[in-house]
Amino acid sequence: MRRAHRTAHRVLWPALALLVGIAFAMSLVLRAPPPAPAPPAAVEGQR
Amino acid sequence: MSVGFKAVQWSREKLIYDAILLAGVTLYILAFIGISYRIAPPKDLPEAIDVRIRAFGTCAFFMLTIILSIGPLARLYPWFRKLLFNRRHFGVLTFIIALAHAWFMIEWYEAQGNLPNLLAELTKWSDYGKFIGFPFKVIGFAALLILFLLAATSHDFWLSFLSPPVWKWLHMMLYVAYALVVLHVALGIMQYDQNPLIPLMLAASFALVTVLHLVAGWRERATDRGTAAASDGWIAAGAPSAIPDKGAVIVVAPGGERIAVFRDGFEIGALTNLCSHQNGPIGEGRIIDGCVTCPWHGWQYRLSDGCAPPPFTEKLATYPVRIRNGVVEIDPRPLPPGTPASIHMPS
Repeated sequence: MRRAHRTAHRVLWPALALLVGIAFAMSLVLRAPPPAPAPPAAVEGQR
Repeated sequence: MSVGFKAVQWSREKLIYDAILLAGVTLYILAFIGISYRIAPPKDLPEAIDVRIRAFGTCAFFMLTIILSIGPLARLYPWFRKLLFNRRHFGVLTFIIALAHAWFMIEWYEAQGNLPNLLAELTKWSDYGKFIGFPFKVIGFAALLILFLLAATSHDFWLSFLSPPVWKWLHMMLYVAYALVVLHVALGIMQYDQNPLIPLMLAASFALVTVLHLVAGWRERATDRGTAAASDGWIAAGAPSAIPDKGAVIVVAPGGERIAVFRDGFEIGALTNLCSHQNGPIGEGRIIDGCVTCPWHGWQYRLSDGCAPPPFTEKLATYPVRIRNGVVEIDPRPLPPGTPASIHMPS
Protein backbone atom coordinates (compact mmCIF):
# COMPACT_ATOMS: atom_id res chain seq x y z
CA MET A 1 0.00 0.00 0.00
CA ARG A 2 1.26 3.45 -0.88
CA ARG A 3 0.95 6.47 1.35
CA ALA A 4 -2.06 7.74 -0.66
CA HIS A 5 -3.85 4.39 -0.23
CA ARG A 6 -3.26 4.45 3.50
CA THR A 7 -4.54 8.02 3.75
CA ALA A 8 -7.67 7.14 1.76
CA HIS A 9 -8.15 4.06 3.93
CA ARG A 10 -8.00 6.16 7.09
CA VAL A 11 -10.58 8.60 5.71
CA LEU A 12 -12.87 6.01 4.16
CA TRP A 13 -13.43 3.66 7.10
CA PRO A 14 -14.72 6.20 9.64
CA ALA A 15 -17.02 7.61 6.92
CA LEU A 16 -18.29 4.13 5.99
CA ALA A 17 -18.76 3.21 9.65
CA LEU A 18 -20.80 6.35 10.27
CA LEU A 19 -23.00 6.06 7.16
CA VAL A 20 -23.64 2.32 7.48
CA GLY A 21 -24.14 2.65 11.25
CA ILE A 22 -26.81 5.32 10.79
CA ALA A 23 -28.52 3.41 7.96
CA PHE A 24 -28.48 0.19 9.97
CA ALA A 25 -29.91 1.88 13.09
CA MET A 26 -32.66 3.53 10.99
CA SER A 27 -33.55 0.27 9.27
CA LEU A 28 -33.82 -1.41 12.67
CA VAL A 29 -35.91 1.35 14.26
CA LEU A 30 -38.22 1.86 11.28
CA ARG A 31 -38.91 -1.77 10.47
CA ALA A 32 -42.48 -2.95 10.79
CA PRO A 33 -43.36 -4.53 14.15
CA PRO A 34 -43.89 -8.31 14.17
CA PRO A 35 -47.50 -9.29 13.43
CA ALA A 36 -49.52 -9.56 16.63
CA PRO A 37 -50.74 -13.09 17.47
CA ALA A 38 -54.35 -13.66 16.50
CA PRO A 39 -56.81 -13.33 19.42
CA PRO A 40 -58.06 -16.67 20.81
CA ALA A 41 -61.63 -15.97 19.62
CA ALA A 42 -60.44 -15.51 16.05
CA VAL A 43 -58.44 -18.70 16.26
CA GLU A 44 -61.47 -20.48 17.63
CA GLY A 45 -63.58 -19.07 14.80
CA GLN A 46 -61.13 -20.32 12.20
CA ARG A 47 -61.50 -23.87 13.45
CA MET B 1 7.29 -14.00 -10.00
CA SER B 2 7.57 -15.72 -13.36
CA VAL B 3 9.65 -15.55 -16.51
CA GLY B 4 6.87 -16.97 -18.66
CA PHE B 5 3.09 -16.74 -18.68
CA LYS B 6 1.20 -19.17 -16.50
CA ALA B 7 -2.54 -18.67 -15.97
CA VAL B 8 -2.31 -19.63 -12.31
CA GLN B 9 0.95 -20.48 -10.57
CA TRP B 10 -0.22 -23.37 -8.44
CA SER B 11 1.83 -24.39 -5.47
CA ARG B 12 1.27 -26.93 -2.71
CA GLU B 13 0.34 -24.12 -0.31
CA LYS B 14 -2.22 -22.68 -2.73
CA LEU B 15 -3.79 -26.10 -3.30
CA ILE B 16 -4.09 -26.67 0.46
CA TYR B 17 -5.52 -23.16 0.92
CA ASP B 18 -8.08 -23.70 -1.84
CA ALA B 19 -9.01 -27.19 -0.59
CA ILE B 20 -9.68 -25.84 2.93
CA LEU B 21 -11.64 -22.95 1.43
CA LEU B 22 -13.83 -25.22 -0.72
CA ALA B 23 -14.36 -27.68 2.11
CA GLY B 24 -15.37 -24.85 4.48
CA VAL B 25 -17.83 -23.35 1.98
CA THR B 26 -19.37 -26.76 1.12
CA LEU B 27 -19.73 -27.67 4.78
CA TYR B 28 -21.34 -24.33 5.63
CA ILE B 29 -23.88 -24.52 2.81
CA LEU B 30 -24.77 -28.16 3.50
CA ALA B 31 -25.09 -27.49 7.23
CA PHE B 32 -27.25 -24.42 6.62
CA ILE B 33 -29.58 -26.29 4.28
CA GLY B 34 -29.67 -29.38 6.52
CA ILE B 35 -30.53 -27.40 9.67
CA SER B 36 -33.12 -25.29 7.83
CA TYR B 37 -34.83 -28.42 6.48
CA ARG B 38 -34.88 -29.93 9.95
CA ILE B 39 -36.34 -26.81 11.63
CA ALA B 40 -38.90 -25.99 8.92
CA PRO B 41 -39.07 -28.41 5.99
CA PRO B 42 -39.95 -26.49 2.80
CA LYS B 43 -43.50 -27.10 1.63
CA ASP B 44 -42.90 -26.36 -2.04
CA LEU B 45 -40.20 -25.53 -4.60
CA PRO B 46 -40.09 -21.74 -3.94
CA GLU B 47 -39.52 -22.41 -0.23
CA ALA B 48 -36.74 -24.87 -1.05
CA ILE B 49 -35.13 -22.26 -3.32
CA ASP B 50 -35.52 -19.66 -0.56
CA VAL B 51 -33.38 -21.84 1.74
CA ARG B 52 -30.68 -21.93 -0.96
CA ILE B 53 -30.87 -18.13 -1.39
CA ARG B 54 -30.26 -17.70 2.35
CA ALA B 55 -27.53 -20.35 2.52
CA PHE B 56 -25.50 -18.82 -0.33
CA GLY B 57 -26.25 -15.24 0.73
CA THR B 58 -25.08 -15.69 4.32
CA CYS B 59 -22.08 -17.70 3.12
CA ALA B 60 -21.00 -14.88 0.76
CA PHE B 61 -21.50 -12.33 3.55
CA PHE B 62 -19.36 -14.26 6.04
CA MET B 63 -16.69 -14.82 3.37
CA LEU B 64 -16.58 -11.08 2.66
CA THR B 65 -16.30 -10.41 6.40
CA ILE B 66 -13.34 -12.80 6.67
CA ILE B 67 -11.63 -11.40 3.55
CA LEU B 68 -11.91 -7.86 4.86
CA SER B 69 -10.58 -8.92 8.26
CA ILE B 70 -7.46 -10.63 6.86
CA GLY B 71 -5.78 -7.39 5.75
CA PRO B 72 -5.89 -5.51 9.09
CA LEU B 73 -5.30 -8.72 11.06
CA ALA B 74 -2.11 -9.31 9.06
CA ARG B 75 -1.01 -5.74 9.91
CA LEU B 76 -1.73 -6.27 13.61
CA TYR B 77 -0.67 -9.92 13.99
CA PRO B 78 1.91 -11.26 11.48
CA TRP B 79 0.55 -14.82 11.91
CA PHE B 80 -2.41 -13.87 9.70
CA ARG B 81 -0.08 -13.27 6.72
CA LYS B 82 -0.56 -16.99 6.08
CA LEU B 83 -4.09 -16.16 4.96
CA LEU B 84 -3.03 -13.18 2.87
CA PHE B 85 -0.96 -14.79 0.10
CA ASN B 86 -3.91 -16.49 -1.60
CA ARG B 87 -6.65 -14.03 -0.68
CA ARG B 88 -7.46 -13.49 -4.36
CA HIS B 89 -8.76 -17.07 -4.69
CA PHE B 90 -10.88 -16.41 -1.60
CA GLY B 91 -12.29 -13.31 -3.31
CA VAL B 92 -13.07 -15.07 -6.59
CA LEU B 93 -14.88 -17.87 -4.72
CA THR B 94 -16.88 -15.25 -2.79
CA PHE B 95 -18.02 -13.73 -6.08
CA ILE B 96 -19.10 -17.18 -7.34
CA ILE B 97 -21.12 -17.81 -4.15
CA ALA B 98 -22.71 -14.33 -4.38
CA LEU B 99 -23.54 -14.99 -8.05
CA ALA B 100 -25.23 -18.27 -7.07
CA HIS B 101 -27.24 -16.33 -4.45
CA ALA B 102 -28.44 -13.93 -7.18
CA TRP B 103 -29.15 -16.80 -9.57
CA PHE B 104 -31.34 -18.61 -7.00
CA MET B 105 -33.25 -15.37 -6.47
CA ILE B 106 -34.07 -15.27 -10.20
CA GLU B 107 -34.97 -18.98 -10.05
CA TRP B 108 -37.31 -18.24 -7.12
CA TYR B 109 -39.29 -15.81 -9.27
CA GLU B 110 -39.23 -18.20 -12.21
CA ALA B 111 -40.52 -21.11 -10.10
CA GLN B 112 -43.64 -19.06 -9.37
CA GLY B 113 -44.00 -17.80 -12.94
CA ASN B 114 -43.36 -14.31 -11.58
CA LEU B 115 -40.20 -13.28 -13.39
CA PRO B 116 -41.84 -10.08 -14.79
CA ASN B 117 -42.52 -9.08 -11.15
CA LEU B 118 -38.78 -8.83 -10.55
CA LEU B 119 -38.47 -6.31 -13.36
CA ALA B 120 -41.54 -4.45 -12.04
CA GLU B 121 -39.93 -4.33 -8.56
CA LEU B 122 -36.69 -2.93 -9.91
CA THR B 123 -38.41 -0.30 -12.06
CA LYS B 124 -40.94 0.96 -9.52
CA TRP B 125 -39.33 4.38 -9.43
CA SER B 126 -41.45 5.71 -6.55
CA ASP B 127 -39.77 3.15 -4.24
CA TYR B 128 -36.39 4.75 -4.87
CA GLY B 129 -37.53 7.75 -2.82
CA LYS B 130 -38.26 5.61 0.24
CA PHE B 131 -35.85 4.40 2.89
CA ILE B 132 -37.81 1.39 4.14
CA GLY B 133 -39.08 -0.09 0.90
CA PHE B 134 -36.05 0.96 -1.18
CA PRO B 135 -35.44 -1.72 -3.84
CA PHE B 136 -32.79 -3.55 -1.84
CA LYS B 137 -32.12 -5.98 -4.68
CA VAL B 138 -30.61 -3.08 -6.66
CA ILE B 139 -28.14 -2.53 -3.80
CA GLY B 140 -27.29 -6.23 -3.96
CA PHE B 141 -26.78 -6.05 -7.73
CA ALA B 142 -24.47 -3.04 -7.31
CA ALA B 143 -22.38 -4.99 -4.79
CA LEU B 144 -22.34 -8.01 -7.13
CA LEU B 145 -21.15 -5.81 -9.98
CA ILE B 146 -18.23 -4.57 -7.87
CA LEU B 147 -17.40 -8.15 -6.85
CA PHE B 148 -17.43 -9.16 -10.52
CA LEU B 149 -15.04 -6.34 -11.40
CA LEU B 150 -12.68 -7.36 -8.61
CA ALA B 151 -12.88 -11.08 -9.39
CA ALA B 152 -12.26 -10.42 -13.10
CA THR B 153 -9.14 -8.40 -12.32
CA SER B 154 -7.82 -10.76 -9.63
CA HIS B 155 -4.97 -11.92 -11.82
CA ASP B 156 -1.36 -10.84 -12.19
CA PHE B 157 -2.07 -9.88 -15.82
CA TRP B 158 -4.40 -7.10 -14.63
CA LEU B 159 -2.07 -6.20 -11.79
CA SER B 160 0.72 -5.66 -14.28
CA PHE B 161 -1.52 -4.04 -16.92
CA LEU B 162 -3.13 -1.54 -14.54
CA SER B 163 0.02 -1.07 -12.36
CA PRO B 164 -0.03 -1.96 -8.62
CA PRO B 165 -1.23 1.48 -7.39
CA VAL B 166 -4.21 1.62 -9.81
CA TRP B 167 -5.04 -2.04 -9.12
CA LYS B 168 -5.03 -1.29 -5.40
CA TRP B 169 -7.37 1.70 -5.86
CA LEU B 170 -9.73 -0.54 -7.82
CA HIS B 171 -9.65 -3.28 -5.21
CA MET B 172 -10.32 -0.84 -2.39
CA MET B 173 -13.84 -0.75 -3.87
CA LEU B 174 -14.38 -3.92 -1.87
CA TYR B 175 -14.97 -1.70 1.18
CA VAL B 176 -17.86 -0.03 -0.66
CA ALA B 177 -19.20 -3.42 -1.79
CA TYR B 178 -19.24 -4.62 1.83
CA ALA B 179 -21.15 -1.52 2.96
CA LEU B 180 -23.67 -2.12 0.14
CA VAL B 181 -24.09 -5.75 1.21
CA VAL B 182 -24.83 -4.66 4.80
CA LEU B 183 -27.48 -2.24 3.49
CA HIS B 184 -28.86 -4.92 1.15
CA VAL B 185 -29.47 -7.19 4.15
CA ALA B 186 -30.68 -4.40 6.47
CA LEU B 187 -33.26 -3.12 3.97
CA GLY B 188 -34.06 -6.59 2.65
CA ILE B 189 -34.42 -9.74 4.68
CA MET B 190 -34.11 -7.87 8.01
CA GLN B 191 -37.37 -6.07 7.20
CA TYR B 192 -39.32 -9.26 6.46
CA ASP B 193 -37.85 -11.75 8.89
CA GLN B 194 -38.05 -10.93 12.60
CA ASN B 195 -35.31 -13.43 13.54
CA PRO B 196 -33.09 -11.46 15.97
CA LEU B 197 -30.03 -13.34 14.70
CA ILE B 198 -30.10 -11.34 11.45
CA PRO B 199 -29.46 -7.85 12.92
CA LEU B 200 -27.10 -9.37 15.50
CA MET B 201 -25.03 -11.15 12.85
CA LEU B 202 -25.03 -8.09 10.63
CA ALA B 203 -24.03 -5.61 13.34
CA ALA B 204 -21.39 -7.88 14.88
CA SER B 205 -19.73 -8.62 11.53
CA PHE B 206 -19.66 -5.00 10.38
CA ALA B 207 -18.46 -3.81 13.80
CA LEU B 208 -15.64 -6.38 13.77
CA VAL B 209 -14.43 -5.38 10.30
CA THR B 210 -14.72 -1.66 11.09
CA VAL B 211 -12.85 -1.87 14.39
CA LEU B 212 -10.05 -3.92 12.80
CA HIS B 213 -9.63 -1.41 9.96
CA LEU B 214 -9.76 1.59 12.28
CA VAL B 215 -7.19 0.13 14.69
CA ALA B 216 -4.84 -0.97 11.88
CA GLY B 217 -5.18 2.43 10.19
CA TRP B 218 -4.50 4.23 13.47
CA ARG B 219 -1.31 2.25 14.03
CA GLU B 220 -0.10 2.93 10.50
CA ARG B 221 -0.60 6.66 11.00
CA ALA B 222 2.17 6.79 13.58
CA THR B 223 4.68 5.29 11.10
CA ASP B 224 3.56 7.61 8.30
CA ARG B 225 4.30 10.74 10.31
CA GLY B 226 7.94 10.31 9.28
CA THR B 227 11.34 10.91 10.78
CA ALA B 228 12.79 14.41 10.94
CA ALA B 229 15.58 14.77 8.40
CA ALA B 230 19.01 16.20 9.17
CA SER B 231 20.02 19.57 7.66
CA ASP B 232 21.41 17.81 4.57
CA GLY B 233 18.14 15.88 4.10
CA TRP B 234 19.39 12.45 5.28
CA ILE B 235 17.25 10.55 7.79
CA ALA B 236 18.52 8.40 10.67
CA ALA B 237 17.66 4.69 10.83
CA GLY B 238 19.48 3.99 14.13
CA ALA B 239 22.64 2.15 15.01
CA PRO B 240 23.57 -0.81 12.76
CA SER B 241 22.97 -3.18 15.67
CA ALA B 242 19.42 -1.80 15.98
CA ILE B 243 18.62 -3.26 12.56
CA PRO B 244 17.82 -6.95 13.04
CA ASP B 245 20.16 -9.25 11.11
CA LYS B 246 18.34 -10.51 7.95
CA GLY B 247 15.54 -8.10 8.81
CA ALA B 248 14.76 -4.42 8.41
CA VAL B 249 13.67 -1.23 10.07
CA ILE B 250 11.30 1.08 8.23
CA VAL B 251 11.98 4.80 7.98
CA VAL B 252 9.84 7.48 6.39
CA ALA B 253 10.82 10.90 5.15
CA PRO B 254 8.15 13.47 6.05
CA GLY B 255 5.49 13.29 3.32
CA GLY B 256 7.37 10.50 1.55
CA GLU B 257 6.98 6.80 0.95
CA ARG B 258 8.37 4.23 3.38
CA ILE B 259 11.94 2.98 3.02
CA ALA B 260 13.06 -0.47 4.22
CA VAL B 261 16.59 -0.51 5.64
CA PHE B 262 17.87 -4.09 5.69
CA ARG B 263 20.97 -5.59 7.29
CA ASP B 264 22.48 -8.85 6.09
CA GLY B 265 25.46 -9.44 8.37
CA PHE B 266 27.80 -6.54 7.62
CA GLU B 267 25.91 -5.36 4.53
CA ILE B 268 23.33 -2.58 4.91
CA GLY B 269 21.04 -1.47 2.09
CA ALA B 270 17.89 0.60 1.68
CA LEU B 271 15.08 -0.27 -0.72
CA THR B 272 11.65 1.15 -1.33
CA ASN B 273 9.17 -0.54 1.00
CA LEU B 274 6.90 -1.25 -2.00
CA CYS B 275 7.24 -4.66 -3.61
CA SER B 276 6.99 -4.38 -7.40
CA HIS B 277 4.35 -7.13 -7.47
CA GLN B 278 1.47 -5.80 -5.33
CA ASN B 279 3.22 -2.99 -3.44
CA GLY B 280 3.44 -5.30 -0.41
CA PRO B 281 5.50 -4.16 2.60
CA ILE B 282 8.97 -5.44 1.70
CA GLY B 283 10.41 -4.16 5.00
CA GLU B 284 8.26 -6.58 6.96
CA GLY B 285 9.91 -9.47 5.14
CA ARG B 286 13.21 -11.25 5.81
CA ILE B 287 16.39 -11.98 3.93
CA ILE B 288 16.02 -15.57 2.73
CA ASP B 289 18.67 -17.32 0.61
CA GLY B 290 20.55 -14.02 0.38
CA CYS B 291 17.57 -12.12 -1.02
CA VAL B 292 15.11 -9.66 0.49
CA THR B 293 11.81 -11.57 0.41
CA CYS B 294 8.37 -9.93 0.39
CA PRO B 295 6.16 -11.29 3.18
CA TRP B 296 3.06 -11.33 0.97
CA HIS B 297 3.92 -13.54 -2.00
CA GLY B 298 7.63 -14.28 -1.62
CA TRP B 299 8.97 -12.08 -4.44
CA GLN B 300 12.74 -11.68 -3.99
CA TYR B 301 15.30 -8.94 -4.62
CA ARG B 302 19.04 -8.55 -4.05
CA LEU B 303 19.87 -6.19 -1.19
CA SER B 304 22.84 -4.73 -3.05
CA ASP B 305 20.92 -3.28 -6.02
CA GLY B 306 17.19 -4.10 -5.61
CA CYS B 307 17.22 -6.39 -8.67
CA ALA B 308 15.39 -9.72 -8.64
CA PRO B 309 17.85 -12.60 -9.08
CA PRO B 310 18.16 -13.93 -12.67
CA PRO B 311 16.20 -14.97 -14.67
CA PHE B 312 13.68 -12.53 -13.14
CA THR B 313 13.76 -8.92 -14.23
CA GLU B 314 11.90 -6.92 -11.56
CA LYS B 315 13.77 -4.03 -9.95
CA LEU B 316 13.17 -1.88 -6.88
CA ALA B 317 14.31 1.69 -6.24
CA THR B 318 17.30 1.86 -3.89
CA TYR B 319 18.48 4.67 -1.60
CA PRO B 320 21.99 5.91 -0.74
CA VAL B 321 23.14 4.72 2.69
CA ARG B 322 25.94 5.99 4.94
CA ILE B 323 27.08 5.52 8.52
CA ARG B 324 27.82 8.73 10.38
CA ASN B 325 28.71 8.90 14.07
CA GLY B 326 27.69 5.27 14.45
CA VAL B 327 24.22 5.90 13.00
CA VAL B 328 22.89 4.49 9.71
CA GLU B 329 21.53 7.34 7.60
CA ILE B 330 19.46 7.22 4.42
CA ASP B 331 19.10 9.79 1.69
CA PRO B 332 15.32 9.73 1.02
CA ARG B 333 15.77 10.70 -2.65
CA PRO B 334 15.35 7.39 -4.52
CA LEU B 335 17.91 6.16 -7.02
CA PRO B 336 16.71 4.63 -10.31
CA PRO B 337 15.46 1.04 -9.77
CA GLY B 338 18.30 -1.47 -9.81
CA THR B 339 21.08 1.00 -8.84
CA PRO B 340 23.71 -0.59 -6.54
CA ALA B 341 23.64 1.33 -3.23
CA SER B 342 24.29 -1.01 -0.29
CA ILE B 343 27.35 -0.52 1.91
CA HIS B 344 29.54 -2.88 3.90
CA MET B 345 30.41 -2.11 7.50
CA PRO B 346 33.96 -2.82 8.60
CA SER B 347 33.93 -6.26 10.28
